[in-house]
Order: sequence, then C-alpha cells, then structure tokens
Amino acid sequence: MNLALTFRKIAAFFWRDFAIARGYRGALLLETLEALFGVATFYYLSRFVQSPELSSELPAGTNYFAFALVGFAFFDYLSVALSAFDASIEEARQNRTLEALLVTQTSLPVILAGSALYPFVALALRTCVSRLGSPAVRLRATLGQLAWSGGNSARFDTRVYWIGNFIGELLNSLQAREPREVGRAGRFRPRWRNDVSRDGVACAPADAGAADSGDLFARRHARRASRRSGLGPALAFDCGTPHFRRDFDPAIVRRFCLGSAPHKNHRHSDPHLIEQAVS
Amino acid sequence: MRRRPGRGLAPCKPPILNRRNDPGAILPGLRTHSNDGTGFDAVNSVITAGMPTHAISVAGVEKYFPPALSGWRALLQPVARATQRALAGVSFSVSHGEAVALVGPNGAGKSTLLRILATLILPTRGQAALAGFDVERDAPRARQQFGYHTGGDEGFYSRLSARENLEFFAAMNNLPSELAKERIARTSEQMGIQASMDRQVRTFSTGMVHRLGLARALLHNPAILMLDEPTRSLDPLAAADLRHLLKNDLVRGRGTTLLFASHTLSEVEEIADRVVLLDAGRVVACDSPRGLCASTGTASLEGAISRLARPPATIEALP
Repeated sequence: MNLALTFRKIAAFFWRDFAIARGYRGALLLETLEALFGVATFYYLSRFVQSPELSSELPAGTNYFAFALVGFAFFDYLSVALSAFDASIEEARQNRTLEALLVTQTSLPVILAGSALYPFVALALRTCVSRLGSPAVRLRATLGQLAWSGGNSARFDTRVYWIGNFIGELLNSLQAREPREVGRAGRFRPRWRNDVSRDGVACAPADAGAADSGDLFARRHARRASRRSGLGPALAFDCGTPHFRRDFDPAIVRRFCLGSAPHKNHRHSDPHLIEQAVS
Repeated sequence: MRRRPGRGLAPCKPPILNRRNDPGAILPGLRTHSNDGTGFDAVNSVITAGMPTHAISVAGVEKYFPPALSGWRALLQPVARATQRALAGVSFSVSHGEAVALVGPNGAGKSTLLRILATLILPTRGQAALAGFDVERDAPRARQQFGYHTGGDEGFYSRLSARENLEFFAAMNNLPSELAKERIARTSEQMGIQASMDRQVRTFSTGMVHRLGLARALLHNPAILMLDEPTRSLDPLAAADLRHLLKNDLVRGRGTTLLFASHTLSEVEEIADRVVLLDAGRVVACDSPRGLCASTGTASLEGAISRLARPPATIEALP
C-alpha cells in the first residue's frame, strides 16, 4: 500500500469534514464558546465540592478542577473512540454517500480511518480551548469575588450559566436543522420546567425530597421556593445544575436541594422542610 | 441462459450456454458446490484465466437475499438464511467498446446485477469479472476499471460545492490533484455544469445532481461505465445530450465499454449495441435491438420485449 497515497486520502477525508463543519459557521463558533462555558461549569463545581478531605485524596499539587478537566477529557476521548467509527459509517449511509465511497479505489480501512479522524481532531481542539479557557475562568472568578462584596456576584454567575446554556441549546438547534450531516446533535435533551439536573449534585437530594414529602413536583417547587424565599440572589441558579457559592450556609444549601417549602401550610409540606423553613 | 422454444433468439456473445446454469459447464476449472441455498459457495480459483478477455464477463451469477422479516423476527435477520432469489444463473459477456443495455421489468434483477459488478454486493454463486479481474476476489483492481452511477442515488455532500465534491472523489480514485483539476474541468464541461461548480450541491436541482453524478463516474476515465437509469431526472434536451455523449464520445470515441440499465426503450435503441433482457433473475434474451425485433417478428423493441418478457413476477423463493 502506498503510504503517501493513504495519507493523502485521509487528509481528503479531514478536509471534507472540516469543510462541512465550516458550512455551519454559527455552529462552529458556538461550539467553541460552549467549550469555554463548559469549563466554567467545571470550575464552579470544583469550588462547590472543595474540601480538605477531597484535597487530601487528590494527587499532590493538583486540585479538583484540574482533576475534573482531565477526567472529562478522558471520557470525551473514550466516547468519541467508541462512537466515531460506526457513527461515520452510519452518517455516510444516511447521506447515501457510502456506496459512492465503496466503489472508489479506496479500501474500507482507509474510509473508516479517514471518516473518524475529524471527530478526534475536533475533540482535541475543544480540549485545547478548554485548557486555554481555564485561566480566563479563574480570572472571571476573581472578578466575581470582587463583585460579591457588591452583592451582584450571584446574578453575574447566573448570567454566565444562562449564556452558556443558551449557546449550547442554540448550537443543538442549528445542528438539528440538518441532522444528516452533523448527526451528533442533541448532546443535551431540552430541559423541562421541573428539571433540576440529572447529573448534578442536586439530583439525589431532590429525588430524596420528592420521595420523602410525596411531592411529585419537588424539583419545580424547589425552584419556586428558592425564588420566593429570597434565595435567588444568593444562589447561582439555572435550569440545569444549581451552583452554590463557597462559604455558604449549609442549611440553605440543604433547603434548596430538598425543595424548601415556602411556609408551614404549604400543601406539599414535609415535616423536615417545615422545620428547616421555620429555623 | 434460458431459451424459449421456437423463438429463434440469437445467443449472447460469446455464447455462454449452460446446462442448468452450471458455470462449471462453461468454464474449465470452475466448479460449484451443491445448490443448497446457503448463500455461500466456494468457487474454484483461476477463474479469469479461463475466461475470454472481455470487458465484462458474467458466468452463472446467482444472488439470494435473506427474506425481509418484521416484528421480533427482525432480530433473526443477521443470521437468516438467504432464500429470496434475485438472480438465477445470469451469464453473458460484453466486449470492449460495446454498449449493452439491461432491460426488464421491475424486480428482474438489473440493479442487483449492476451492484454485483460494482463490487457493492457479493454474488451467492457464479463469477463476474471486469477486464479479467474478479469482482469478488480481486475487487480493488476491478474497481479501477469502472465508473458507476445510479440515477436515484446522488451520494454527494450537500454542504460542499460541486467542485469540492469532485475533488474529494478524485482523491478517493487516486487522481493527482493537477490531473483531477483538469478532469473536473473537462467532465463538468461535458455535463454542462461548469458554471455551477462552486455552488453548494444542496442548491442543485435533481437533474444537475444527476449530471454531477455522471461527471463523478467519468472522473477517473474508466474503461467500463456502468449506469443505472442514466437519463432518469433529466430533461429531454439534457437526456439527448447525454445519449450523444455516451454513444459518440465515450463508446465510439474513446472505446469505453458501457453497461446500463434502462426502462426507456428509445434510449436503449439509440445507445445499445445489444440488449440483455432479464426477467425474474434470468436472462430471457440477449441480442441486438434489431435482432430482437426480427426474432419476435415485431416492428419495435417495445413489442419485442413485451412479447418476450413475462408479466411482472415476484422473486421466486426456494422451497
């Protein structure tokens, strides 16, 4: 097999996929921005779970943020490695380009390798953007701490996350317009009104709260309650993962996670929640 | 080839007549195992050595597909036994520089035969070779010989321009970039799409995509061109231009071998030197258009074919 010819073909596959991605200019830009906002999420999550016990468990000289970034990058690569090859073939089949490729003078292994190259390169670039974005997030966090004294930090955080989520949703919408070409749309499902988060720290307590109180809409009530009880300024909250500021009163955190009742006569009130609300 | 008594049809050229569609009766050294319908049959080697040097040689090709299953039985599809017969011992050959049309009713096996020759699917039994290269055993070299285009399957990247698409497929066909540019310019001019080469394919009309597909098939200057309904979706003028291109420029001018499936009999009469009439996976007749008319005593090819072909029949199933 002519190695130079093989590399040329693989490069042709890469340029093909890049040219297709370039065709969706808005999506390309938003994907980059989404990576930056994704790293912000990890950063605040790391601040939330930061504790001496956790620090002692992590390797020396590192913190949870770095640990999480490496972990997420690893799982991203794993997920792409598991899906890239069959996804590329499936995509070609749906585009009806598979037969056109198979009758060319290119062997199937080269077609597979070439088709799977772009997802790996795109992921590598996204990881680079994340790594480059982490100092920016740290800088923004410092600004946030300064703003905290003015009482506006939580709103600022909220806006950051809303923008991040908006970009993610917009990206998905743009890609979903022509799913045959992108085929990887729908990274997140649309959020429902009573969603907190399925993968966030609030998931288990919210579920537990729903079970304890018999409240089928504990999640939605938790959001409403947080607004009514004036927790909004104190909590960086979005439709997804709730993010709490460091050095916050654990009782408030618990109230929020469990779905604090607005007052003791609330129709879905739970004894534990009433006690928390009264205290 | 099944011959009907009393019809006096001219045989395919070269005459590949066999007893019970056994390729071993045609070619020395070619032996097949029992016809058990398993979808697999080992065939003796050195097939092409025994074949005459034709551009396309098809000898005793059979193809069985698994039956379509639904419901929970669909889970068994990957291991289902191939029992639905699409081709039943098709044998014919095409000389270099000859234009041959595959004609027959829907479900006769025309597209299946073309897909076997295009190395997209494997024959269950029998042999097929392009320029002496077996499509099953020597598929990479066989692929160098032909260009293939189906009228109904565009297979382009809609977000890329026509030029980018052709450049990509030229690279897949091992064309150096300079040569590719030259060929792209030439074929796009032949197809009349040179003014639209920098537009995204998604903005093309169906006919233009079809022309682009033909340009792609001709890109690497193949010795054999296989087309499935080449003038489908084309307007009458474009279809006439294409017929002229196929017959005069490619077949007569360059000596390209042409095998095409078509339902347009006027096109068949205009382009084809010979007609292979398929019905229910079998070759019913193989002759020139005039020969078919003469042998059936009809004035037109349509009359000859309607007399020869059976009413549309479903694919027979093995017992």
